[in-house]
Amino acid sequence: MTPLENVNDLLNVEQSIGVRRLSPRNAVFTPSGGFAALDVEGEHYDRVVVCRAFPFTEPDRWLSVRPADDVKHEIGLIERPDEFDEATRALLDEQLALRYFTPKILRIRSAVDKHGFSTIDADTDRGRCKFSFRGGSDAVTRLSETRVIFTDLDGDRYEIPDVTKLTRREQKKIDVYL
Amino acid sequence: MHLHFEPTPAQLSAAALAKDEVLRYASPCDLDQKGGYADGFALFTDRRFLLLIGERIAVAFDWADCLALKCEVYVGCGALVADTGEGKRLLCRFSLRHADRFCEIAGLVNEALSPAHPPAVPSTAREQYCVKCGAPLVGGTCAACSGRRVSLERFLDLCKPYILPLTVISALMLAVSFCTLYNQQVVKVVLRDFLKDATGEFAGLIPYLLLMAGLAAVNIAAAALKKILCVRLGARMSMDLRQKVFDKLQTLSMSYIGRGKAGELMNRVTFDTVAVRDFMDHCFGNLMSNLVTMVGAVVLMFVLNAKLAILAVVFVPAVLLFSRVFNRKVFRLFRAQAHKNDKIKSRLQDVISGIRVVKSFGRESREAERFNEYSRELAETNSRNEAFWAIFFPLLTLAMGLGIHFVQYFGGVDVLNGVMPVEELVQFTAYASLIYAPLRWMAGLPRMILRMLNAMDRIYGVLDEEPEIADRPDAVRHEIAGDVVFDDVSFAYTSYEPVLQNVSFTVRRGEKIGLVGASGVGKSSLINLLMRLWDVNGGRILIDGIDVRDYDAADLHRQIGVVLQENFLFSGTVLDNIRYACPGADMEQVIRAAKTANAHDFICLLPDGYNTYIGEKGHKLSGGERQRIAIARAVLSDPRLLILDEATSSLDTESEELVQQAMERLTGGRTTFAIAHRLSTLRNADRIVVLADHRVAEIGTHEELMKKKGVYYGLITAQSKLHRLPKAQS
Repeated sequence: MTPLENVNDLLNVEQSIGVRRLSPRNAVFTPSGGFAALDVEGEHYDRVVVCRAFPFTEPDRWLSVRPADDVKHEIGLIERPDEFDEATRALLDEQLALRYFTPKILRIRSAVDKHGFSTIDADTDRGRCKFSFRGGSDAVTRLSETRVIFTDLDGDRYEIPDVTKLTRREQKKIDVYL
Repeated sequence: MHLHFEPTPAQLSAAALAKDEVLRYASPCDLDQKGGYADGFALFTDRRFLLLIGERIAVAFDWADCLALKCEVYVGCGALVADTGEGKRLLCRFSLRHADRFCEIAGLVNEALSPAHPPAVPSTAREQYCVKCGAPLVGGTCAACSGRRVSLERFLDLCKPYILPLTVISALMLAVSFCTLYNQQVVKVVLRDFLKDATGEFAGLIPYLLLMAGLAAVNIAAAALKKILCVRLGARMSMDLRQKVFDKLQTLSMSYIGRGKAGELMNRVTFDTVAVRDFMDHCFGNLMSNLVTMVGAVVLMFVLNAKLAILAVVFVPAVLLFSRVFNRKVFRLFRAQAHKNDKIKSRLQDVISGIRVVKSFGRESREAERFNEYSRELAETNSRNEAFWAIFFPLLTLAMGLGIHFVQYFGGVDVLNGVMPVEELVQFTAYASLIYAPLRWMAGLPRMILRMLNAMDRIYGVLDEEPEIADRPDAVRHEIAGDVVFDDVSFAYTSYEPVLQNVSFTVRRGEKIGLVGASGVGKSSLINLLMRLWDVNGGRILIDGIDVRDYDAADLHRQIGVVLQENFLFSGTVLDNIRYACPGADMEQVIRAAKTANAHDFICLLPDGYNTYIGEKGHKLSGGERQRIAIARAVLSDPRLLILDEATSSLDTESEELVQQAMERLTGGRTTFAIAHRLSTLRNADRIVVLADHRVAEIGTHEELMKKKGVYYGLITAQSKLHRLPKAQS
């Protein structure tokens, strides 16, 4: 073995830069106790974790699938989940819903500044919630001119998909943070 | 963390616990299985897990079926997963608000399930929201529930020490108001007795003219004095506040400083204290004189002529409203402009500091385009705002004057009908015009007060923060000899990501310990714990048999020397930086320290020697040179414990040699902890501690570990292969 091959072997270059696509042709997802199991090209995984590679810009494509007990190692990528049958898609969606929780704010009831904290009371697509963040901090992320994410004191996240869709009164309430 | 929430009677009856069943832990659980908000409540008894949604049992699970309980944290949420031996089962879901709580409970449940599980590590994570009322906590206490005083009260408190200048300023304000109002009275007399019929004698007029001149002089003098005192007082108050905040920030632990962004904290030190000063300058200084002038003018108007007075005042609410709307609009417009301005600035800074990247990828034209776009946006906003200003400001002025026009019309009619003397009309109009300027100013008052109170809020947010790492009242000062014991140390920044678990090892004085392990395994955390920048969650760290938590922190730090990968040198001279820890050192000591650090020679060759200014705008030093200055700094402080955190990893081979040499001199006889990725730099270590999977994997000398062919052997062979690579190719 030449030293170069040695190093290749060591770094697993092929494996770490190769992109393996998961599709109905090579992968079978099966539900198991609220989670998903995967069989792909002869490998079996009891439980896999499904991550979004581009959670903001491509939430429904490019899903990265990893073993739950070794998340640093990727099994493969699903570029187009819609290639799979309906049951599998539902299973993947369920796994995504388990992993990601970012309520979308539909209506702002109030926004109050007190003691250096800003507290927003809002209706979201997941129900009503009230959260706080430190004033003047990096709690507010603008993904675009109209898309905003708040990160509260605990690290929970809340999204306003389109600020301009809020009423003028609601916009005024949160104007200060944007 | 609060692990024992009280279930409501309804929840208790829904849970229907057996008579001898003991409730161990209870916590709200805010998500349902599908990921919607739910009114959930999780109960952990001695025999089972129960999840109530509302008053219905949604999940019941016996511990008899459970091998282990795991709290998994995802993105913005987490879940409790039970391992049944046959598979995994999802028990409940929650948002991050409860994640720390469930992780701690999971640890405690596991501990009770089987002795094979490691003992639970108590979490140091703090509640962020009040468990009673849900309000955000300030420094661990709830402002609402603990009855913390509101900002206005605290502002008055803050004013107390300045009572004397405040009284003087108030008196001056009264004087200004009095002069303004009384002046019109004199004008009236002059009009009536001398000018109207031109009957008076010039000699009689002189005392009045002198009186008017005198009043004007007093007015100007008092106003000037008031302004000076206000500015001085504001500056002093904000300086005192700034000092307080800065002192507090220095005592607060790393965990607090790490939580907020550095910039945000700087803002509190500068921006918010300036807001308080501005309030004193612009607002407080005018508050009383404006108020008194206005009220005085209104009262005098009513005394003179009630009918006209009502006419003048009737427009006040309208003007007030109009001004407020106008001010708000202006505020919004100009904030938008400031926002665009900031955007341009940060873009510019980005591009200029990354100019090498821009050029090397040939993206100059794209960057120019993007900048133009921003620039155009700013220009548009700018001209729109100015147009608004140009149109609406005159309108506002017109609206302000409306009342006066009415007064002049109806008053004029009265004068022509002989009902009202002309001098009274003049006096009246003067008073009427006096009320409008303060009025407009007062329309903006709520916002100014609010801004100041918000600033006060933020300042007190820092001042009220309790340091998480505080010296014990009986903290000891002890000259360290250098025996260090890690006794079953566990640590995590958040309870769901363990960083160190049950780490135990002993270091004798003078020993040089190499810390090895993959990045993120907890090497730097171990050092942070030793330095007590954070506190352990479990176990203890002893230096010379004394727990680090019992040391006086400042005294401990004085005896620990640190050389990091990127050493921070302060703006100042080389001399200042070397003497940072002991400003009293004499020149010979400095030179000796520099020589030990292999730094003396290059320093002498700098244009200004030891007086060379380094830092942001100063002389550029190479990485190795900075490193050696940092070592000299550590040498001079003569630490008993030495910490080298990746001290040589960013250096080229030649300077590494020099630095290595310097460090060997530095470490002689001192207990040393050295972290290094390049394992060759640890060849002189007495023993090597290998961390893997958040635990100590191996301990021993280089030879012992090589013989053992374990983790360390693997790392060494991997690195030597990598280093041989270039040679093999050439």
